[in-house]
Amino acid sequence: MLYGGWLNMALTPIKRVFALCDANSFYASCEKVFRPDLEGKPIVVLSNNDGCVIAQSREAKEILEIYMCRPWHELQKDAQRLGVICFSSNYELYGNMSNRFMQTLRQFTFRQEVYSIDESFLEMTGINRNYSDYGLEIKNTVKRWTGLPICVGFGHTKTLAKLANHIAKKQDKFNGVCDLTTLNSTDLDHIMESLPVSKVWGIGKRLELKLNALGVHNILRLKRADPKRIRDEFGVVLESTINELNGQVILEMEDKLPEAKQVMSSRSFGARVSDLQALKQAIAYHASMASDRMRAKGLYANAVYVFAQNSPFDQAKFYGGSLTIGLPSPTDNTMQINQAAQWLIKRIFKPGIYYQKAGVMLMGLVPKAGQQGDLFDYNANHIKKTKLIETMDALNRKYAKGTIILGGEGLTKDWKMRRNFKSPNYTGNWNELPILH
Amino acid sequence: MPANALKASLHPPHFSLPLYGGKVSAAQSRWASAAQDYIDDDTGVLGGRLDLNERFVTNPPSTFVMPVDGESMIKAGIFPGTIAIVDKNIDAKSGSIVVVWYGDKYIVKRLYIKGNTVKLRSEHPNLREYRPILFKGDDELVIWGVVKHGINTY
Repeated sequence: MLYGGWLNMALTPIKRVFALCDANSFYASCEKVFRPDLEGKPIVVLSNNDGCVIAQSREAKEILEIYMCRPWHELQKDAQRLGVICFSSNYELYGNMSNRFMQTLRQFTFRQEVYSIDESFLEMTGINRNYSDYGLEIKNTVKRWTGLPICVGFGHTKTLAKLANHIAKKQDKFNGVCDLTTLNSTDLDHIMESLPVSKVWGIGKRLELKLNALGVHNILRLKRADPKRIRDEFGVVLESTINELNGQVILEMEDKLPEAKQVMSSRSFGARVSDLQALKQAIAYHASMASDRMRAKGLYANAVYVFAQNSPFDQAKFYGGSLTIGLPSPTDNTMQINQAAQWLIKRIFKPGIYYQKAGVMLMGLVPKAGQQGDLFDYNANHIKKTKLIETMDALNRKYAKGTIILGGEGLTKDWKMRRNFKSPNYTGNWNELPILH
Repeated sequence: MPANALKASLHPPHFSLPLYGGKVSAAQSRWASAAQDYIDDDTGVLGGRLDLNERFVTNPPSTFVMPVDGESMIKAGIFPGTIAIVDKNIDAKSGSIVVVWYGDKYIVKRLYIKGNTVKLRSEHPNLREYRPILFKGDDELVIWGVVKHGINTY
């Protein structure tokens, strides 16, 4: 008996199960955690430099569904009349809350893939639970620990989990948790028939139009399409999607995020900048920020890319200059990187241009381990410089960011980004923590 | 923000106290090699070091730091300037010191529940000035978190 049972278990392939946990209106929700008075109120979050709307709370979506990605200065009057509260983006806060969210999820799985700042896949295969209950437990725990509202979707593939999450989000009757693994096929087909193909992971507007032209208007039609024909017409990616919709696992869990191919630091100026000196200061700042980020990942750069441009919306003719230079040998040394960046910006700079944005990108990143000095020893002073940089980094870590800066960086950063409506850094700055009265 | 701001801010090396000062080299003895596991990677000191997070931030994702400004809780040892360590993952019971969003600000008070009576009480010698806040019927009381520790600087 026992033996038979074992054999049976061993021969039955275990169906894979994936969960996708996704925070609702993540940026707006982060703001609300620290401002309980904003519960139920419409909130929008603006892009860098308060340019346009990049995130909306559910309440805001309801009254101004077309606000997304539109310039704020066009909407401001209307929005304020409607009682919409706006925030500049507070990336420090969102990053911190994202980490709390991801860390909270860890206890519910043996395998987690952090897919974006507000989404994470959890492998559920073999976890012998009622997934609707388990999903509710996950949702409630995240809410309790971090204050963030989330939705959880379960499916036999990542694509189905993602679809389940979408359903959980849009259909209130699911109470934020949707398990497609236990749905009978009639119900599942019914749901799929009611949703447009653009709700499927990876299908954008353009692809949707092409599929519509072929008569594929809903997800069920896509699911039943012939994968081979689709591959011939659209390629393997869409073929995978169809297989995934049919419950065949194509997309695996990726435990680690793919290694960054480049590190970038750039920013719009608060006001236009036209003199070389100011531009050089900005570039020095970005060179040091980018190097900092790269060092934190334990990487070396092979090339430095610098760009500066005026605004395409200015009256003047558009000017965008960019140059790349290869480094004599891979380095993570801020001074060497800054030296290269300064050399580039001098060549990009043209007088009479009112620059709106500039930045530094480090490219050709390679792991730190196993780097050799070059023949002509570009890194002659390397050891000494490394010590200096380490000290700079340590001081910057210990005190506020930017305590120790390179000479070229200048002291007044009047080109720093405009963030007129930014909330305090509630979780990451001793001087901005919420105060108890 | 770095990986975990709270962790980062509470975890720099200057918080660390080596417990035991004897250096041990790997080849000294069999005992020493067994002790390798207990040697701190950064300091090479046996016994590791005290980590304040381990004691005071037991659940980082739900732990928040909030400084106090106000005297209403001075009899509970919470003074202006006290750094409160607030955990959202603690059940508030009668007697808990809680953080509540009240009107347009956060307040810290002692929660008192008896039957249908729910009160937030101050702990101050002059209770005439710091009257309890009574919640009844439909009044909404949203507890943001529970104060688990207070750090005072003298």
